[in-house]
Amino acid sequence: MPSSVVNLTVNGREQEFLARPAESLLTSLRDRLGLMAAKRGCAQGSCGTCTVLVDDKPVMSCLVAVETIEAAEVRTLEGVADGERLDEVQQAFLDGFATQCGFCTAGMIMTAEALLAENPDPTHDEVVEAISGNVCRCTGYRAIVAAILDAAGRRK
Amino acid sequence: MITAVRMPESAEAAAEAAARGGRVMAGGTVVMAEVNTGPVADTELISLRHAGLSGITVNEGVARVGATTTFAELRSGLGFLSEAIRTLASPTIRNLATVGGNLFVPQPYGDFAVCLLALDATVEIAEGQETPIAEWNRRPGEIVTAVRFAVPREGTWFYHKAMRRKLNSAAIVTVAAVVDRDTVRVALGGVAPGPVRSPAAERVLRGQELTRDVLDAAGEAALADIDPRDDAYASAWYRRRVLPVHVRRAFQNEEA
Amino acid sequence: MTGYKVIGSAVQRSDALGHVTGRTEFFEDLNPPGLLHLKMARSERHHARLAGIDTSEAEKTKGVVRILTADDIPNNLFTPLKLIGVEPDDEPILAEGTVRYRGEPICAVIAETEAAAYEGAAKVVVDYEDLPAVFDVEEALREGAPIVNEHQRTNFFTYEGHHCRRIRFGDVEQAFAQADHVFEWRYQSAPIEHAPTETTGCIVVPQADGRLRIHSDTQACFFTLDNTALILGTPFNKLRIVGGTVGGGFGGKVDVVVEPVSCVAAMLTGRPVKFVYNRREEMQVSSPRAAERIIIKDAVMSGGRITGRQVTLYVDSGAYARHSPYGTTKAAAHLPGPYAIPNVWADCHCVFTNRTPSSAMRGFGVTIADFALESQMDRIARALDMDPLQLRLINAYRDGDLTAHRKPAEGTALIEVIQKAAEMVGHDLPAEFQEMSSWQS
Repeated sequence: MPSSVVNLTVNGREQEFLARPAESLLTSLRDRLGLMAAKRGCAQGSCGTCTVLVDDKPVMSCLVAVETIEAAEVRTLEGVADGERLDEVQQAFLDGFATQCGFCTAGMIMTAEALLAENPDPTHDEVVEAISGNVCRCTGYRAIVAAILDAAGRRK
Repeated sequence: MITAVRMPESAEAAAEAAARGGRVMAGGTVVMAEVNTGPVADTELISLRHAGLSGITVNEGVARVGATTTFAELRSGLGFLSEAIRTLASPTIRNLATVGGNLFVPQPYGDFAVCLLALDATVEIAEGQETPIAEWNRRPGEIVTAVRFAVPREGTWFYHKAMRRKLNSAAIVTVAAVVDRDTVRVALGGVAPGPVRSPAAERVLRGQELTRDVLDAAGEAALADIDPRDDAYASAWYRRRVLPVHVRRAFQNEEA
Repeated sequence: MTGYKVIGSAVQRSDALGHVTGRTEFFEDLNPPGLLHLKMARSERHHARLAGIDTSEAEKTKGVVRILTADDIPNNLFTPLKLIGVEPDDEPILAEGTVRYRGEPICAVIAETEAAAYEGAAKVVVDYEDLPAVFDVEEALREGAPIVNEHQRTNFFTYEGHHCRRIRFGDVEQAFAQADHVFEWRYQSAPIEHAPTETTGCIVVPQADGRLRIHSDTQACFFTLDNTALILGTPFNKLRIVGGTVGGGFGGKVDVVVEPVSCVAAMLTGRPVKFVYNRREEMQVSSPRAAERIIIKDAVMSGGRITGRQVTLYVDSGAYARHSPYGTTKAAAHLPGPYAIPNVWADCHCVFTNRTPSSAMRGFGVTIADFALESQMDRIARALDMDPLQLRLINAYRDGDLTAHRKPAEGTALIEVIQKAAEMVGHDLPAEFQEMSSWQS
């Protein structure tokens, strides 16, 4: 079962690693690169806890066979803060008590990052649609939607 | 267990790889879910990501959509499909899932296949042959390269999907239709093992004003063309019960 | 200013910074070198004798390291509440001779990769001899019903020699005979899955000193540690548990279902082992909130006073006890609801069926009982053409009332809560109801 060499730019750093056939981007991030922020909640694209940005687009990393995205740019939650300085979305989640168990948080923040990059001034409904693939089972959606809208305001 | 992932760089190479066996994968939203969480019979995946099959062209009112065009790309390319694509899946899935892949998704998923049926699309396969979607059955080793359909005149395209949640959920009932002066096509999803046309509803609608009475009659008529099943989203009984309402709503642009 | 440091100010959650930066460590955020993966071969039948288990093909699967059966588990039979004296041990870690629900673990396949573990598990061949199964609580209690769990001997859990948890207070039969109305209705709930975003799982890492370090998302660290030690037959101090960070629990992660077998796997291979449910397993075999069936019969006077309440309650425990005997006791403790009813009779049955074992979930025993009790109150109000709030106020318990459990009620506030709620939603209450109090008669 030959592994293949994969090159990705992850959070601005070039990475080269071995991946097993059909290994998901999520597994590579976690098991090869030690980037544990993206979570495995369902491994079938239903929960959104593994959401990362691939070439600036939010995708569920469990559904991406990593060898098929050779040379892509990947961004994970680990790459969002500037050292110890949180970005606006992180700060808004923190200030707005938009975390509970924390398992959905990485996916929620990355989805929000992609939304705000494309649409800096989203409506409430646009935020709801953007996170419609991200499940928060602690049912903290109101606080999460409010935090994303708050982050948009902070960036203006 | 998967022991290799092939990444053909043309439709021809993909067809050759597929002819040798292996599982064809486009966006991965269905195949990777299986690979991740259980034993799979296949040993090879054939990824179409680099086969050069994405892209949208519109020529004299006819759209050709490459098989690996994602729904995010399609949504920005063909505005009339925007609402249908919005109901299809979350943005994070729309960035991966493809037009071609959706043809192979079992009901009650695969809303876009319902749209294609209503659009009377043709399916283009690797050898360049085209088959009307209603007559098409995939043969092993065949690679879909594109779908082609006439873009409906403004105001003649209708779409409505009923689901358990407002977004990102499978179909209880999906209705897609083109109703123009001499064209009436109604396609239904979620109510049979595959997407179906409803000739009975089409007969009722043909040449009529889309009044409440006509729409109610069309909804009742559509019951003749369905074969609903129970699943985790709804029972066959419920689907049958609500179909007429959703057929009506498809044309009235009511809120679900 | 209050002079308080915390009250009146927003205090950040201690874990939130870790969550928003991705630094919070959940159990699976650990990748020890040499990690092995464990997956289960599970029962495809609801109730069957295991005539044979053939693991030979599974063992040949590339990457499979070892396959565990019941024989490998030191003390295979347990029940989680044995720590507080509940008996008998009724559930195997790995099936022993019989399977009692679909999805019950039979063999644990340990492999170098997750894919190999799945493949190995799929190649375990089990020869089943089907036994009659029962899926309904009332059918399970009928004479001649197939016995679900021989360790329990009956299809009900036995409480200190009794077939159910009982309340006997006053004389309900007399209340029915003297009532203006008797209302009897029946309520049924379905099992409810907690569906945590993080599935149930653990990683066990053998330590140089011979101890095992268990990284788990259990909601009950020490409960899990103690039960696991009993199952392994090791002193408690041979285990160390690292946990407390739970990606959603809601009561679903207190069952001690992944740790014991993972510890055995780590001991026998000398390597770290991960066992984590996939989403399908989480839905199918992690224990849900029990389905309950509740029949309530009330004696009611025309003015709305409830003079007698008889409740027959069934908790569907599934094939094993887990926490359901306790949940059923909680249901009994909660009856007849927050009302002063002079005659109460209740039988609360914890019933075994060939369904997925149920267990703890957010107020289990109480939540579904409340659904039934309050639905009953609304239906009585409708039948009597009464305001449902007034019906509740008439019957609300007050400080000093003797409850059906023969304890004086104290700290009651139902009347005040209803009055305030009515005021907030603009629901007019007549003066006599506005003047009621839980504390003054």
